[in-house]
Amino acid sequence: MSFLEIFRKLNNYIGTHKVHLCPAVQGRLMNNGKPLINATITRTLSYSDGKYTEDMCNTDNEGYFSMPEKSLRSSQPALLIAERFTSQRIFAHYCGDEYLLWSSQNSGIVLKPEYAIKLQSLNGDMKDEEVLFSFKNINHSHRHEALSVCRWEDDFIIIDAEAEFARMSQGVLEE
Amino acid sequence: MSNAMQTLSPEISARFASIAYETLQNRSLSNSTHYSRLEAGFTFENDTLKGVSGGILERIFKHRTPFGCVAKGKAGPFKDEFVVALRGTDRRRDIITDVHCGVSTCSNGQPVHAGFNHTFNSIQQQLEAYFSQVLKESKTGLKIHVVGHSLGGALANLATNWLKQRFKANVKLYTFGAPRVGYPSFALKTVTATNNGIYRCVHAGDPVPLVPVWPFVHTEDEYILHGAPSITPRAHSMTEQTPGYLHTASAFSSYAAVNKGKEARLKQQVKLDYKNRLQAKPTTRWARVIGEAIMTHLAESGKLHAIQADISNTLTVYDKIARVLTNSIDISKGRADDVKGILGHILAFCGLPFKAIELTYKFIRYALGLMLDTLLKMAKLALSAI
Repeated sequence: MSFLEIFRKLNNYIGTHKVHLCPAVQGRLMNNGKPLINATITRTLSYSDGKYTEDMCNTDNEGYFSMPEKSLRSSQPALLIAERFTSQRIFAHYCGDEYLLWSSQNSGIVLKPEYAIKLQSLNGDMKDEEVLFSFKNINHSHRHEALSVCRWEDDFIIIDAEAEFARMSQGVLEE
Repeated sequence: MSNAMQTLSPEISARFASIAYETLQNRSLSNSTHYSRLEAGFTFENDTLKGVSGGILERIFKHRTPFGCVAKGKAGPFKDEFVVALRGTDRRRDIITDVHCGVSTCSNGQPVHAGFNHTFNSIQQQLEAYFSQVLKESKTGLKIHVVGHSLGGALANLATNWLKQRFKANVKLYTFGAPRVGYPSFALKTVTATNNGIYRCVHAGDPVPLVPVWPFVHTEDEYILHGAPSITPRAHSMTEQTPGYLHTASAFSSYAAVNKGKEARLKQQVKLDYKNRLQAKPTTRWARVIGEAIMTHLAESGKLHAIQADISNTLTVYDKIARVLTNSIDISKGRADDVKGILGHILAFCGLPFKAIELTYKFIRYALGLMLDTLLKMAKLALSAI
């Protein structure tokens, strides 16, 4: 580990505010219906001031994996004008391929419970497509969004990005 | 559509302003949810330029810290049009709240906030490298949308003028919660450069568009995405849930549907009488009235134009205003009374109505400084209420 890398990691413990990056993650991965054994899971969690943490784990013989809750400290929330958001990226690496298990942005420095519910059951099959989907926001009418190859039974609506873009640019064409 | 240029919809421009923030994250842009939505209509430059020049990465602005990204329209309404998205908020310093700012000249020869100009100059080279390459391959000329939030909006103003100047590009400007960038002459040139294609979006409760104070101005037209008037700390945020520019912008299908407003310019002639100074209260209304009185005085002394055209980094604009006010004292009793009235109101505004007034340069500069600090404190109070 280089000196700079050590300094960067130490810096994650310094700051006036605690930034919640990610709740505990649990899940089970399959490969065409069979458990995905000994795949590497990497997680990168970043805060909008540029600080980030990385960790990893492996799936067990049944395809299960779990990762702890994560946070870091930053002084950026104390600035008068600062954009505050965290982002979460979780990947599975298997046989040289990379699968996106989770990607989201989260406004503010406190994680919302809706994310924790989704990340408690990160169950997916590597044969499925990566999709953009939305899930319920308990405080607001805007739904949360994330990208993933995983699937959930409830509160999971797949978004068609092409159709959405057509909708976004519709007003432009009418002008 | 040879020279005609599309206008980004409010939601598309807001998503670009949001994705610019993600260039600071160490994972690549392509895994973000904004990216997957914009990908349907735009190619981000890491996809197309990776092998071509090697130097231009998806974070092309890796000068010190990444400051944004560039995308090119795919087939569809934005074919062959470019988007430059710029990020706000420096990690360490808050240039926006630097009220004691100097002034320097930007690409169109007009005076602008020295801090913004300095930051823009640090990313200009990367834009130069990228767009001069693109211009060589282009047959029809460049069409560039420049998008930014907060400080990024200020940089977008400067970038728009520069791209027009340097590449004769067709440009349109989209800002969210941007501060004032320059003097009236700069705002006017920006309107001309974009052929009136400016979409300056604000929330009525956002304090950032209120700084820096006179004689800095915005381009006149504004799009009010959220009308709640009380100044709240959250009203400036791009990604926050309420109101959050991303969410308020998404509610409108086109800019034509958004409520338009105009920046209230300092146009009234205002005289302040020292005897009435106790009427001044620390409110935004009085900040405006005092600003108007100072401008009236400068205009009557015939010095307004000189101040707006004089560019030097050693003196801030407020040093110069103080100098003009000091010079007025010896000219006539009427002038001296004017200055006394302004100073009395400034001190009352700052909560010191009974402080003895000295008609010296040192004291006048002190009073102006006090006023700027009080203005900043008001903004801070609103912002720190989190």
